[in-house]
Amino acid sequence: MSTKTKSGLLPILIIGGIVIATTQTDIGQEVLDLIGIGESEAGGILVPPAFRDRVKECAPEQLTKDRRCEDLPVVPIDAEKMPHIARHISMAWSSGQSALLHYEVDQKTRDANNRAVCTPARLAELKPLSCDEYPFKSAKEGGAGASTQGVPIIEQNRQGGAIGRAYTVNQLQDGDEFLVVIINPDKIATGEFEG
Amino acid sequence: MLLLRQPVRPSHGQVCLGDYKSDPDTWPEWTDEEFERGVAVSPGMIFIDINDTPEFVVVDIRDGNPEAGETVLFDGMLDVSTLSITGGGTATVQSFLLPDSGEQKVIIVVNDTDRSNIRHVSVYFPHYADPDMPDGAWMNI
Repeated sequence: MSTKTKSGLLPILIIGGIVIATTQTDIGQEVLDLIGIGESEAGGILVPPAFRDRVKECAPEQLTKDRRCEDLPVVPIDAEKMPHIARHISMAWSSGQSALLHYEVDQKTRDANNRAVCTPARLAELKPLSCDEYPFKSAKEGGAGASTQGVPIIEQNRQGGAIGRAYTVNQLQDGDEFLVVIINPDKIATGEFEG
Repeated sequence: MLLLRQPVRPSHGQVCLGDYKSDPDTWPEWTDEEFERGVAVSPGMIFIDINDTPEFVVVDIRDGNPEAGETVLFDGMLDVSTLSITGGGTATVQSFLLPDSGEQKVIIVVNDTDRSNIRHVSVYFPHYADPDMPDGAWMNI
């Protein structure tokens, strides 16, 4: 069954990785405050607390370039390019979805995962926005129970490229684990897309 | 002439055509300008924006040139030897081995100017046209 993450459900997330003292925009800081991230911790990588140690040795630039941190494949979602998708993912994390996912190689399963949550009714409800799902349909964790949210189509397009690049670079095999991280978390959208 | 017909389910709002052996760092990033045009292009990969749809999109690979009046989405060079046709966000691909490798002229036409109605994409490779084997009525499918 599809679950719709509500914007009011934002428990604490903790920033992982690099501590960079940067000047936050008011909007960016508002989001970081909302999800429980202090200014001094912002500017680097956003991951749920349980996975902070998995990427603490890697800078955002390294994750973006290599799409891995040591032996761990990483799918970097850049909030500067995908602010509403980054918002959706961070909200899904805060509602209990995992940042550590496992690669689903079977196309039929992926399609079934997608159809389970981005149903024709849900697509119609979200139109003209794109139905974004987290965990991804290309993850074992995708499908029933995944969170869905409407996002701008251009962000959906960009996410497809980002995910495809990470899978290809890491030559993932069925069941391989990978970690989703948010880069530039201070650029996460503050609210739903309103056009 | 129709060389290949591949149904593909769009993913992440797009259909991807190109060579997955090309450097992923060169793949299109979807700039605002590319999004306006509905197509994002890198030397070895072409992404076509197709809005969310649960339906298949049929991709035809053809030799020769499109008919006059068709909706041309891309007319240029593509560096490709193994052509893959997929939705977005995947590394799992079905591939079509081309006779030639390297840069090749490609013309892509679609069935509708409204991207939400695109259900048929035709990829033309003009230089594979064979004058000794022109299309007959039986090939006009």
